[in-house]
Amino acid sequence: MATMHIAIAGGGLMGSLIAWQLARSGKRVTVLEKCDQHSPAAAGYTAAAMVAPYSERPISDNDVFRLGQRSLALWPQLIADLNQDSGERHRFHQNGSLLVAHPADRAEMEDLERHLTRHGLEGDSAIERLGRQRIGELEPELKNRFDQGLWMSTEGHLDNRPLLQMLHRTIVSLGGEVCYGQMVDTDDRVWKANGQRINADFYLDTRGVGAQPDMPQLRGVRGEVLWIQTSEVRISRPVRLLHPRYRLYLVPKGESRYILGATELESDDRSPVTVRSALELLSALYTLSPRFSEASILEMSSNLRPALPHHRPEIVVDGNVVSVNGLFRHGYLLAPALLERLAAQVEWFDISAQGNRSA
Amino acid sequence: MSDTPSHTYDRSSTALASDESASSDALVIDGEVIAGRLWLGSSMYRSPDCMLQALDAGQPGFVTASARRQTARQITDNGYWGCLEQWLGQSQQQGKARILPNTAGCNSASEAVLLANMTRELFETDWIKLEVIGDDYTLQPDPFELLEAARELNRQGFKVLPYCTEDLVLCQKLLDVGCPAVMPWGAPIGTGRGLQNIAGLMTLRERLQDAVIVIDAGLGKPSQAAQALELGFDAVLLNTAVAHSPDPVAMAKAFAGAVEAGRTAHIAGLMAERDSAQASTPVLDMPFWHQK
Repeated sequence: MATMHIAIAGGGLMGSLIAWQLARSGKRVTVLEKCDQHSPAAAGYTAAAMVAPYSERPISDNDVFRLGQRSLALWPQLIADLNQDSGERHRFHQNGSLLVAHPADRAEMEDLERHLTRHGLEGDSAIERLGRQRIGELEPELKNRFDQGLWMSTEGHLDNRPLLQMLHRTIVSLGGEVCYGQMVDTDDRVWKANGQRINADFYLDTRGVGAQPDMPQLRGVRGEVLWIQTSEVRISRPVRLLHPRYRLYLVPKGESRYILGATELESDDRSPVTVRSALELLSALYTLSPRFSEASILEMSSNLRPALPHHRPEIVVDGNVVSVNGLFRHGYLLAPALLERLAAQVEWFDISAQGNRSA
Repeated sequence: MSDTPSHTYDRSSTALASDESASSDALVIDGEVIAGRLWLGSSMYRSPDCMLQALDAGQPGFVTASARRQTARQITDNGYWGCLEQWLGQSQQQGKARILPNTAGCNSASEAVLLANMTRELFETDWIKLEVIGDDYTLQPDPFELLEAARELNRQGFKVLPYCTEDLVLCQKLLDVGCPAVMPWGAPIGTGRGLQNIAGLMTLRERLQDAVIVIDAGLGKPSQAAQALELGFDAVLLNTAVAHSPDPVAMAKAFAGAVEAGRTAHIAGLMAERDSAQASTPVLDMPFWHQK
């Protein structure tokens, strides 16, 4: 019997995870990525890659929260499998996230508690209330700067840029193809990449905002982040600053680098970071610790999150075409659990047969 | 447009409305009937779907929308307004909510006038909630730039609803340049503190008896909205209290109920506060000299 061939449009996080999982179960996969290999533009490349279901609870649908909790449980094994397949070493960082608010903004902390209580999480063992001293113990840099905080102790984060590259390499090492610079067009159910017809047994559409022509409900929500580097300040886990106007976080990315994000603007404008957004993000950083003022700004980038009106992810099966989209600001939070959901919902999406590897 | 206020809402007619049904108690601004006294914002909701459900529950007279992106680039829709417009389209067919674009994020009269003109094209409406911020921390309006922008926009034929402080002279001047209503703050935007200067607001209500006065911003609880309506203010405009609630749909419904209660109480007429207790049931068999 011929090996099943699956074409995947979109080489971002979801598409790459899917392709890798299919490849390691012995399927023939072709990833069609719009961007050049050296200038990726997937939302998952710009993201901070946190897996933070508790921190995101106030703005998450119940389904998103449940999927997020599931992903938190799935990531360690996925990374272990990926390390095994690739012979490389990647880490799922899981030392929780710290949420703090300045005394003037303590209503934000109260609001968050209200949301957690509402969702039955007030006594959850994954949430610890912190006083001034305990905050200083967890993150010495923040000692004596905040009176109260929350530690979502099981939350994690990933080094997403190396991860995405590693996934692509592993897909290829397992016999799959990753083709860059491929504009996929799905008109009339015939898939074409750069005008050339793509013949496969099954098709997976994970293009994110790129799928807009086929999904009128999908909208791009602009997000802006900054990368900074400093050896003066050491923060060991994601820190979120609760503020009435902005949602801000700082996530360590190794080698004294941090990602600072993120704005959320109802706009599908892809132009570079604005002065206003940079001022907001950097002011917030400064209030975390003035010692960040000597940090270098390595990069400022903007991108679009693919969002559906309900802000939940959606799997749509239409004959031999399956679309996965609407992961919004929750790509890393949702992707592993969506793999499971795909396997449960789509008959041919079989990622269990690990012994059949043809490579 | 003349310099005299063109609002047509006549407060004396509501004073006489006690024997009539509630449906005759229409809010009329600039000759147009506004379908509700609860007005809601459209930002900070968990998702567009959540917003639309909350709007369904709140049945607002106006839904405000900020046209200015923080990117300050151009006004284009990423699909968000599409959702809202579709809802408004359905809503307007039934004579319900209208859109009220605002000039949030503007710090000068010239900026606000420019943005108002852009929103007129985008939203196809002459209504504009004029917002000119003078202090970024408290989001307090700048009364001087506001008045200048209001004068110009009224001249250009807009129906200008200015977000202002409770300053009597400012409100009078805003009405003088043609604004069909004024919208003083209850408290700074997003604070949820309710009516912080009741004496000042009551001065406005008493001195500007014929004006439509809408309490805009600072309301955090339905009881505060009810209070505003009880005191005779014509409508309330709020966003955060609903959008940030763990259950925005239920909270929108709660505000709608509170606004209705407050308005009905105002029409019914509140009793005066007294210093001494007065039993509602006369106790004839217990003369006062028997009390200890």
